[in-house]
Formats: sequence, structure tokens, C-alpha cells
Amino acid sequence: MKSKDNKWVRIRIYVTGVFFVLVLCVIFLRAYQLQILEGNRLSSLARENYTGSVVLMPQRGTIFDRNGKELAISIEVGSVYAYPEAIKDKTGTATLLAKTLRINRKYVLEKLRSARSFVWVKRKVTPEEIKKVGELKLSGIDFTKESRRYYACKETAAHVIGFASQDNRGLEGIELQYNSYLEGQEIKLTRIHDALGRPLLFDGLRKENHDPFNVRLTIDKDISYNARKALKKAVEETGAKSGVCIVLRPQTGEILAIAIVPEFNPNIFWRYKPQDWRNRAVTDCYEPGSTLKAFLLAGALEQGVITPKTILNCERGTYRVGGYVIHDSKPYGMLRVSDIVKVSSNIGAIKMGQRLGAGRFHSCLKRFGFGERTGIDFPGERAGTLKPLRETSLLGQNTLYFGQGISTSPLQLALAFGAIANGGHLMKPFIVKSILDQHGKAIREFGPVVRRDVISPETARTVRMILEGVTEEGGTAPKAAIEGYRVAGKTGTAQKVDPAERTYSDEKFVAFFGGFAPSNSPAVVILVVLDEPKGTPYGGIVAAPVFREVGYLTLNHLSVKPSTRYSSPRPVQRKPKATVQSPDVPGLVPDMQGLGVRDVLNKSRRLGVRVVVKGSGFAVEQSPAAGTPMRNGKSLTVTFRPPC
Amino acid sequence: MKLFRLSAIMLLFFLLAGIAHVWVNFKRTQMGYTLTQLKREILEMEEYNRKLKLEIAFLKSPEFLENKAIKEFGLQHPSVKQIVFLP
Repeated sequence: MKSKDNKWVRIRIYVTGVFFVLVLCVIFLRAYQLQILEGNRLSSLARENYTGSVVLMPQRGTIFDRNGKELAISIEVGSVYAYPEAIKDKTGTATLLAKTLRINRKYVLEKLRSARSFVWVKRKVTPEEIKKVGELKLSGIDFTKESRRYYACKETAAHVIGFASQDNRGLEGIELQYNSYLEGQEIKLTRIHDALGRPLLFDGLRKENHDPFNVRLTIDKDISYNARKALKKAVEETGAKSGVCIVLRPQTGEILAIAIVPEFNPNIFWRYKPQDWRNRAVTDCYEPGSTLKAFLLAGALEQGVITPKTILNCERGTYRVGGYVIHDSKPYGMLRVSDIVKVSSNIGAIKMGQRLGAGRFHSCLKRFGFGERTGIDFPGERAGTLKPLRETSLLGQNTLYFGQGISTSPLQLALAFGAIANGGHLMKPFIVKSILDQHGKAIREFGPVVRRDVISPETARTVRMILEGVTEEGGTAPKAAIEGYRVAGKTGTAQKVDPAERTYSDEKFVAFFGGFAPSNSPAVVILVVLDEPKGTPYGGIVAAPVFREVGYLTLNHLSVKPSTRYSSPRPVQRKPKATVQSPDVPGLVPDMQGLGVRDVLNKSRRLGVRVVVKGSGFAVEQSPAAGTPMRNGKSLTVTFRPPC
Repeated sequence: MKLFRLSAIMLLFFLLAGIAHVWVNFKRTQMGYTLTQLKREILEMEEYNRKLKLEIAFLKSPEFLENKAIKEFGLQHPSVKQIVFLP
């Protein structure tokens, strides 16, 4: 009986053991199926349930001016979109949206009736508009965040900065040229969320290499604004078709300002004509007219064929060359070279050119950079034209001496003036100072590059001295003279070619003034071009005042000291009194006005008068007044003020 | 008796280890929420900062400043004689 029971127990144990083994086998097989065979699929299914992604809009890098002030900056704004299939009352929705977003109802309705599953209704709207649309609670209408570009200085430096599209891609100017640095990438962050959908953890921080770079320009926004304002005023007053003003540093080739009229506001660039977006300083070419005489002078002096005192016959204003008669605006006889440039005589220029020779002048112009691109980091630059000498007629060779038969971009001309200003070095212009990462560290920097030496420093100095005469009385541009500074420059008034008649027009001109200040140590080169001014077309009349205004404000902004010392109005009025001082009479108060502190102290010691000194500089006031009786024991109070 | 004491110590150890594990997980989750919140705040603050920078840039634009100075305060550009250059 006992052995029967034991047998039964053993059987039960075996059965149970087998059962557990079988169960374990099933579990192992199931585990194998879940983990090995379907592991990847199931884990991704699970991940989908507890992870989500957050898309960060691509940011665009900031553009700064040379002083670190923001010129272009991107911020997030809302955009309204629709799922047309989810909208039942399309007409009603379109009416409400059109009213709230201030857009055309027909346009909205067309979008909502579209067969596409997703349409933009209005992109980059104001927060108020987003709020209003949200309050409407329309089905099938939603918002998203997008990055929008803002240009803080509006029209100022707009042609340099350019603009970016709605999709944050650079379309013009620096925005286009440096798009690869400025363009940010869309960042996708994966997050883990809980059962309620609340985000629990992001899988990582923002990737550094996804951040866009910032660009720092050589442009100064204040100088740009002044240039823009002065140029705009001149274009409006003269009725010119367009205008260009360039301000640059001759020693480095840094562009401080480029102002173009007609102007545009890059915040709403689509409202302007595409031709208004063009940076005419690099894309347009003009005949430079008499401004070229400055380079003829430089070439002739460099080759030693003339000196500033060389006298040439200006033929009383009429000179026959190659079967054509060349005229001067006024008849001149024998003139010194310096006076030929000062009064801008065409015949004098031909005489200078004949001494230099067409070949040497041609190579001189090439050395000054005419007919070749400057290499500026800006899209759309044109090289201008400088015809080979063999393709130029005798008349063409002679008219080239006063700037006909050649075309140049305003930037080329400004840089050529820069070469005279900086002692003979032709610089490569640049408009971007550095490219910065998000921490402000420069990853790429740009500096001055000398393209070549064009003339010797001595020649450059002589040319600067002669060009100073242009802005003096009797020169062609006294209106370019800046009070307190020595200014040198050259005017130009170029006839435009009439495309219909293929001859020079008597009605259409381009007025130029290119120059630098202070001429003894140039801090800035400024070039002004006015295309087709109405009325008086002369560069010295219409372009020179722009030079003066921009030059004065720029020199002031750059803290360039005037070469002439000025004193404030009050000391000016009182100083003469001091220079003719009344004689010192014993017992009467001495006259101290106009004297320095040391002189006043010496004089008072000599006369035995006690003095109280107030301020420093020159004596402008005293109490008691000079000539009144001096009371015993009473001191004389003298107020000093520094000269300006 | 010895076996009983050992079992009790083991049980206590496992209990404490379990509690520690749960507590660490709880703290991790809590920190996850805080981190997420902070990251969102950082992004919002960065965006707010950009908006303020833009506003400053608009307010400091030369055109705005000049209009304000001339029309509101009656200022004007100084003449060359009125400018003092400090060393």
C-alpha cells in the first residue's frame, strides 16, 4: 500500500515537473518571439507610444553693423494655415478670415476650395491677428510658428543687407552672399512623454552645429543713414533718376556705407520693383567723365612727364583732334597742370594725356582697377569696360583722357580714389568684417588686402595737394568744401549715350564727385553719383553738396579732428577785447580778458591784486569789471573757459 | 534561528533596495519634468530676448532717434564750431 502511494506521488511530481518545464518552454519561446523575432518592430511601436518630437523652427543668423548693432534679426511669429477638407462652410470661414487677417476674401476662398490637404492662409502675422483668429474657433484652421526676418534700420543700408524670403533663404545682398552661414537648420528634438502626454524628457540639448552663424559687417549704420538722407535729398531736389553714395576707409578698403536711391524697405521688399533692390554701386556702370582726370594726373606725375607747375596750352577752349573739335566749358589759355585739374579743362587733359601717351594711360587705368572686378564679397558685381587700345580710335584715345569711352562701377571709382588717398595702394574692398558663432567668437575674419601698388606715396601726395584746389574758390567744386577740414576731390559730368541715336546726349548726364577728407591724412573716401539730374547737371553743383554733408557728419562721427581750430561764439566775441587790452592803471581793476590762467596769475602778482580763478582756458569774464576802482582787500574773480 | 535572522536581514535589504529603486525612479521622473519645463522656459526666454533685441534695434535706429531728437526735443546737428574733441 505504502509503495503504491509513493509511486503515485512520484507520478504527480513528474507530471508537475513536466508541466512546469512545458510552461517554461512556452515562456521561453514567447520571449524568443517577442525579443528576437519581433523585437525591433515591437520596441519601435512602444517608442512611438511614449516618445514624440518637437520641431524647432530654423533660426537665421543675425547681421550686425561694425559696432555690433543689429541690422537684421529673426524672431518667431505665427502663421495661419488650413486643412480645406475639414472645413464645411468654406464661404463663411473665408469671410471671417479675410476680415480678421485683412486679406482679400476671394483669395482666401480660392485657397480653401483647393484640392490640397494643407494650404497657408497668411504667413507671419502679428500676435494680435493670431489671437483674433483663435477666438473665432474655426474648424480646419490652425497656427504654427515660423521665423520672420526683421530689418531694424528699414531703408538704411538695405541694398547692402539685402533680404531673405519667407522660407528664410537669402535672396539679395549679404543675405544671399552669406546664406550658407546665416541659414539655420530645422532642429528636431525627441521627447519622452507620460501616459497623459506631458513631456518628460528631451533626448538631448540643441546641437551646436545646427545653430546659424552671425555676420558682422564693416557698415556703420549711422554713417549709412547720413549718406542715405543726404543722397535722397539731393535726388529729390535735382529730380535725378537714381543716386549712389559710397563711403569707405581708404587704408583698409572697408565699406562704411553704401546708399542707393531709389531705396526700398527690406521688411516689405515685395512691394517694390525688382530694379529698386539692385545695389547700383556694384551692378551699374557709368562713364566716369572728368573724375578720370585725377588718374590721368596721377599717371602723368608718376611717369615724370609733367610736374604740378608744368604749363600747357589750353588753346582758348577749342582744339581739333582726329577730325573732331574738342571744346572746354570756358576758354582757357596757358594753364599750369594743377590749374587744369582745378578748372577741369578737357583740352588741358588731352595735352597731359598726349605727354603721357595713350598706352601708358591705358595701363595706368588698368592698374587703378578699371575694367576688372574689385573682388568685393557681394553678388552681381560688374567689371565695367576698358576697351583694348588697339580697338580704340585716335579720337577715342583722346576723349579717354577726360573720361569718355570707358565705364566703371561707382565702387571701382571709389577704390581708385582710395588708392590716391592711401598713398598709392589699390585695396580689395570688403563688406563683412567677421563671421561669428552663437557665442560671439569669430570663426572667420576678413582684413585689408592690397591688390597692388599703383603709384608711389610721393605721387599720391602731390595728386592730393592738386585735388585740394578743386574744392577751393575758383575750382569746380567749392560746394564740396567741409568747414574745418582740408578736402580733396574731383568732379565729373558725363554725357550719357543715347541708345537710339548712338551718340552722346545733350540732355542726359551723370554727375559725379569723388574725394576724400581730411586731404592731408584721409580718413574717408566718399563718392557721389547722381544719374540724370534735371536742370544743372554739373557734379560740382549737384553731387558736391552731398559729399560735403556726408563728409562732415562722417568725420564728426569718426571723431576726426578739424584741421582748423575754432573757438566757441562767446570767446570769439570777447577775445578781441582781450587782444586790445586797456592799459593797467594803478588803483583800477586790470583787464584780464583773453589771457590764460598763467598770464592772469603773473599779471596779478605783478600788480599786487588777489585773484580767484574759476575754470580753465582763457579768461572770458571778470568781476569787478576792468577799469573800475580797486577796493582794498577785495579780490578779483576771473572766469576761464576752454577754447573749442 | 540563524537562518531566520539571515532571511530577515535579506528581506530588509531587498525591501530597502526596492524602496531606493522606486525613490530614484520617482526623482528621475520628477527631474525630467523640471528639466523639460526649464528647457521650454529657456527657449521662451531666448525668443523673448530676441524680440527685445529687435525692439531695441528699432528704437535705436538712426532715423527713429533723429526724428525724436529733432521733433520732440528740438535738437539739431552741431556745427563744426560747436564740437569739442576730447583727447
